[in-house]
Amino acid sequence: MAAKNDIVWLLKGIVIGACNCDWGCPCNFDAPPTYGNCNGAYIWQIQKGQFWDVNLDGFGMGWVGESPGAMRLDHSTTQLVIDQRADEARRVALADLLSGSFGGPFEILASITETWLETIFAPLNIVLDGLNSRVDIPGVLDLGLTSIKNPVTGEPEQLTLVKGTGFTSNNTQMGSTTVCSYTGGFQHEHSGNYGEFAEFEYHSSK
Amino acid sequence: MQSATPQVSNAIESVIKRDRLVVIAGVLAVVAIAWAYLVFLAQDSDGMGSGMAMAQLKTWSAADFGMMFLMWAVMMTGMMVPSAAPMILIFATVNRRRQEQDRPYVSTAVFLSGYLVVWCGFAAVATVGNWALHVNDLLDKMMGGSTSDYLGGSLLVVAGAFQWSRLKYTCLTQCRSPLSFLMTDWREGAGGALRMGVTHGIYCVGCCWVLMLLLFVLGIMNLLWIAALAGFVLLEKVVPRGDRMSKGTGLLLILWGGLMISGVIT
Repeated sequence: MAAKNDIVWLLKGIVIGACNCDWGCPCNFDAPPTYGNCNGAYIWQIQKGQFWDVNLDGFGMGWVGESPGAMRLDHSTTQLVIDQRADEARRVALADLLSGSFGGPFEILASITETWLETIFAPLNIVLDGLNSRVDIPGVLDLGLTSIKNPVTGEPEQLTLVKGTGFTSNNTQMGSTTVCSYTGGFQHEHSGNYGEFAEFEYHSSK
Repeated sequence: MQSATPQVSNAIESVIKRDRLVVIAGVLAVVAIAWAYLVFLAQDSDGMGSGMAMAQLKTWSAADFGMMFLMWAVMMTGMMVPSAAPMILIFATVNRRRQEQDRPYVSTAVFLSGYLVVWCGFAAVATVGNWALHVNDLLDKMMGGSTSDYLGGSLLVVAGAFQWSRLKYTCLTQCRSPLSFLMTDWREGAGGALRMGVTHGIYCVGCCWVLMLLLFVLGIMNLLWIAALAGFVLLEKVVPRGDRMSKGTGLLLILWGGLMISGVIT
């Protein structure tokens, strides 16, 4: 592994996202939120992860936020969700990553955050199945992805966003949600709006 | 740490940065002492070190062996600890984080000790090699360089060819990738830290042992040459695409060796 010698954390896996905007998610196209405000969530299932000496394979974490306007205008309120199964060392590692102090997309998400709600520790029950994936965090998040259906034929559309500058992923399957209901620190209900599924790989660099 | 708010983590990060300064200062101190000793040795008029009057006879006493081993051990320390600094800092950071989390942690000195043990072992082997070359009239003085252009040139060619070898590539990859080290070689406790230092030392020796042979080409106590080799080792470790630089340098060494063997240069 002839990696750059300054890498001390690495995350690879699947990221599932959902927001209250119309399909496509205007943020992907640098456009304002469909309905003015933004309620969204990212859930990362880490398949291969290492943060310093802490192995994170198989653990999950989430970022949930809301902002009165576009997310990038940094008035976001954010809540972090960390896998309850994680032991103390892993919780610190996941929290450190999500804090944005160590780079990656988390740094961007942290930079737009004005208010932090208390972090939730809960079991993340994630079933990975492309645009049929499900995320069930009891009492916190009920999320089911689905594909966008062609209104004439009823067939699932295959929509892939290839975006080199995408900050959570570069190659994203775009779909919708059968259900998306968040009852943690916020009350977000945007079933039927935008949902996405993507592979991700992030690593540190100083 | 029930709710790890980001503000707390930022505080930890600044403590880690201060701790890095302490570790860097320690590494610099070790290197400075080693180099001060080397400079002291080099001051002697004919590079034989104090009390080396018997060296002309080309037999080595036990004191000679002891003195030369010390020189080699100090030289390896001075040359190789700077390159080990990135890994030392990572080890220090990991244990600092553990300390902040009230988890068992190990002093960085243990890791460094394991590393130096390996290089002392190498120094012992180098001392024997030094003796063998000296008693066979292949070194112009005890701490000198090769008397024979064939030997010097051959060492250069071998060193250059080694830069292209599988062993070099494997060891260099391990040396350049702290992440893979953390993922596969991490061991718990003080014994584990010692073992990690030894493992890292073994990779370093595997990568650099042939370069050390080049000391016999231009003079073991040629401070400029020592510094150049140490600098090269560090560059190989940190420069992006260092593997390409390794191979390029290998070609240069082969060329230089060829010119030396053919008598074009000495």
